[in-house]
Amino acid sequence: MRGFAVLLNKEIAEQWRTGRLPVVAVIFLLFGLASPVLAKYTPDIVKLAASSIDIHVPTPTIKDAVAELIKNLSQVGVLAAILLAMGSVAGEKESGTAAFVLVKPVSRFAFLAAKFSGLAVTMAAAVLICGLAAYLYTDLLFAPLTVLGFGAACLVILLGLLEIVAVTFLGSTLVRSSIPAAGIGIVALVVAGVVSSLPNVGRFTPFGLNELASDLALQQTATGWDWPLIVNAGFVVVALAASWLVFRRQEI
Amino acid sequence: MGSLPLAIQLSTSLLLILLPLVVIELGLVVFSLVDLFKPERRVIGDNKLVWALIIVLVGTIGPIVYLLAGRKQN
Repeated sequence: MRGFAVLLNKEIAEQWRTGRLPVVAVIFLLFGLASPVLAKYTPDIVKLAASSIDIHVPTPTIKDAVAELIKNLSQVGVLAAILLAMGSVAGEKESGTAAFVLVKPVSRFAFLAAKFSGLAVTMAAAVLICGLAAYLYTDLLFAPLTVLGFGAACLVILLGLLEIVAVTFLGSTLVRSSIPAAGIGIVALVVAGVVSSLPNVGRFTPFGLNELASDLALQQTATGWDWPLIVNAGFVVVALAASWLVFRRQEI
Repeated sequence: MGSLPLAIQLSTSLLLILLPLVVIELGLVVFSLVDLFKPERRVIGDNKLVWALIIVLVGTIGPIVYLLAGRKQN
């Protein structure tokens, strides 16, 4: 791992300097704050919009706030994950920065590991900020969630997002341009979406983890999740290993 | 507002709850437009007008796509 610490510092500084880290953090903050608000007031807005029709909208509960948060992170969070990862390696190959860095005494493994670690730090910071905001607003508008359960739910959500980052990162390693890398991430996303709707295997996808995140946040019994968690974490490892196998002999 | 049973009660506390959301949402749009129209800023596709329309018209997603994927790094 020659040069890893130096490269990781450079990556995190670059995530900050290019504005990616603050932008992702602000976006996640927005959805962390907005999700409980939307859950609380959407029924009122629906009633107002359909005031001439007799419509029964159930009173929102804390369950709706958690569901809204998970839904928003499954959409906008995943979009941010793809946009963040698509140019991480491909962009540097395209601009020639990768070739410039790799002539220095750093290994290709350290280069890739630092790139992914930088992305993981950004996503973790964003999920932390989102979680804190959602926790505060859910407490204000509904009732307090348990810190431990909600924290565990945020970790599960982070795992799902890191899977998307890892697959897009693999795409970014395979190609020389950001757009096809994003395409690979989106294709993986569509496949995961289709598979997640299948019985028995749905739990083994990033979207399948949403059910576990909801159960953990609401302190409901969650059983039989050992293997789905191991398999989902395994996807991250496999995607990163594949990235390494491609990148180690790749002409830069 | 008491005569409107279905209306959302716009109390001070509700406005305080909504204020950060409005500030962040508008802040993202304004920041994106200011960044876009910096003379030295180069964007994917080299068409700033299209990006301005995306930022303004595509809701929250517009500024997100611009800030994370629309800018060319100098």
